[in-house]
Amino acid sequence: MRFLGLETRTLTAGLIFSLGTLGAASSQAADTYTVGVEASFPPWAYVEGGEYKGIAIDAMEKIAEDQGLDIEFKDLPFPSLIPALSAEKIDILATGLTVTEERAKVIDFTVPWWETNDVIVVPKDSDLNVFTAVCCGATVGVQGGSSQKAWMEANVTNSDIDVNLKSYDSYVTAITDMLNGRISAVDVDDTSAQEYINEGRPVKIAGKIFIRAPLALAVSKGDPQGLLAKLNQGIVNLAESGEWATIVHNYIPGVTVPSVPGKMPEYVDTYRKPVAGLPDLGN
Amino acid sequence: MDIYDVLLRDFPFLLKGLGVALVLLAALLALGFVIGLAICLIQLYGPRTRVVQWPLKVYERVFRGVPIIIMLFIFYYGLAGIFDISSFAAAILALGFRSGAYQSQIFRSAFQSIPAGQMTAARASGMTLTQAIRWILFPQAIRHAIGPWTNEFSSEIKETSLAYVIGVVELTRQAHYIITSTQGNVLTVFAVVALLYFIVNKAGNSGLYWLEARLAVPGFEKRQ
Amino acid sequence: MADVPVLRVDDIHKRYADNEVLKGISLTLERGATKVLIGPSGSGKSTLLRCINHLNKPDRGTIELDGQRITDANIDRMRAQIGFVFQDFNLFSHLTVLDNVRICQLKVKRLTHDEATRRAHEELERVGLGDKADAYPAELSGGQQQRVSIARALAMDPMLMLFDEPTSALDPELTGEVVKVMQQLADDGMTMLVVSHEMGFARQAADEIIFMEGGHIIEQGPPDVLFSTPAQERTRAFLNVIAEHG
Repeated sequence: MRFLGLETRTLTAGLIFSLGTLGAASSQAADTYTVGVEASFPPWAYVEGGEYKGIAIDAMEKIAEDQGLDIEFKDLPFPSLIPALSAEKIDILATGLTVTEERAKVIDFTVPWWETNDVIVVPKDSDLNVFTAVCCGATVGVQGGSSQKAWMEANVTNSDIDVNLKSYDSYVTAITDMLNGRISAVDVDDTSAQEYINEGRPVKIAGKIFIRAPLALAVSKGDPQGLLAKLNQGIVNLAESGEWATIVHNYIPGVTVPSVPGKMPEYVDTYRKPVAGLPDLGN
Repeated sequence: MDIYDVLLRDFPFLLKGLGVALVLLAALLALGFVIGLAICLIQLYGPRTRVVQWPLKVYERVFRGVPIIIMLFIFYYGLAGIFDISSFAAAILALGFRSGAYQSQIFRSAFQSIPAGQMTAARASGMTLTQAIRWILFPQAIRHAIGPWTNEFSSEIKETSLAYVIGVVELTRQAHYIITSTQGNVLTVFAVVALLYFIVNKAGNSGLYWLEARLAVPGFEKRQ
Repeated sequence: MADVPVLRVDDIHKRYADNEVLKGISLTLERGATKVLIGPSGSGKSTLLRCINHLNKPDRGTIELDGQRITDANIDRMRAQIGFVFQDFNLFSHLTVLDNVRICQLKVKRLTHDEATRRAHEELERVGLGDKADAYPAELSGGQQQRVSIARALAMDPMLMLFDEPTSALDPELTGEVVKVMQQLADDGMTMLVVSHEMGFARQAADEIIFMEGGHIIEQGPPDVLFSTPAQERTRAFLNVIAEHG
């Protein structure tokens, strides 16, 4: 009788194997905090040669060292980051995350460490300006789940202006699509735009939309791990020691570093006095 | 550094991503095999009662009908409330349960294409239902199932690339890293990745055909 | 016990939808006896055979094998003692001839590998196919397949052999080899109940012919009596039809 024994053996081996990987996959070291990043979002976070690099990565590592935290990074696509934080699959969110009122309802922000404005990026040889790029049937690319997308939806597509929005998983892909001619412009934060130009991509900034949007780190609502105070202190320490400016200039030379902590909007509950770890601050 | 130098330097990471994808593939196919076979056997030879058969039908509808990304989210985020589950484990479960729904269909067809007389003769000799399935039907069903199963294999290879949405760093995601860190070169990088997927697919198919040849019995396909 | 009949069938009823196929069949089969069931198609002969080993479950009535009642609880054990030969042979197509004859010995009777192999070769020799042990069923002619199927049944050392139209699916020139084997079995003292149109076999080997029509047993008796001077008109009518068609 052929193969009957082999069939049963293979089946059993397969079952043990899949259960084994399940078991191995589920085990996790305790007390190591998982920091969620979107690792295709230069200059804030990306992967090069197998290593995590970027402003948020370097800063987070320094803050962790300063505050005695054990961390490991986890890469998730941008739209998954906030759900992951809400579900406590990650403990800290460290990426170029804009503080918005909707987000403040579901997660807890640290004090802002950066301020961005949005820019409209167009191909280098285009003659569109910030107004003509965002009108008249143009298609503008944004990153899915981003504040730029929310801003565009609130202020542009919902009004009389005739513009289509196209969502992308990452800005880099959006830029590529634009250079391929599929969309006419991309709405992105100014640091990322500067990064693309520095990298030599044939794009230019058509105009700036002044948002003065604060960027901050985040933890799960209610700060279940008690990390908020440490992170806030860490951010302030990083800025005061000058290391923050060093890190930023590593990636975006020549840019002005806004003061830390940045402007704290009133609608964020974690910015009410006393702010965790910085009791003198707050609204 | 031009793109080819980067690819050369980062090729080990692509291979690492490929390794992750292959382990995920093996695990989900194994899980799907066990689930699919179990469902098939209960549907064909188990109690005909509604309380047994109806949940199986629902299972199949759900896992075939819900988009893969949603299923991944459900297992990764949705289960988070009940117990802690890693990305990799969630991916195995989501994709494995789904594969089970498809594989049960494959096995059902395979078992049903066995002439009814085989079971009758087995039972008439005094074999229990379990013995008849194990020694007479299953070896024949497996031979019928290999062809369609090759399709399932090819299908699932492609679907492992969706696991990145819950944070599994497999081949496609590794390619994404290279693209973002070099700000472009989409075509080159993905051409390499496509080639890797193609190789895996081809290797798998060849393996399955070898298995089919090895199990072949003279005149098996002929009806008596 | 020597005086208990090997098979006792008592008042079997079987209905399919609104068609009652068996309307109260009773018969006995003594040790070593060979009985042949004849009758027009649809008379319920095959159904009766399948009711005996519960391949079809009777609606009413009992079957006793060697004095023991066949029930759901003991059915697998009972079937191991009843050899069944099908019209369509039903050999296990993924196994060699040798494995076909061996597998039930190994799995059902749990014999050792050596013992099962020995018995298998024995029965294959007995049906004249000793040299075909390594062939696959698809490589054999119909007559050869049917002989293997008989060997498969015999290897289980059954106390009763049931034959359901064993030659009906064979080309005429191949029926001879199968009938010859059945004849030999009958001579060797096997207890057999055969459904068949092979009148030659019936005449020579049967201890009793049972004529069925419309779900009833119309008449039964030794072949020399029933074939020459049937008591019932319907029996006579059937035999005339058979005679016309040779």
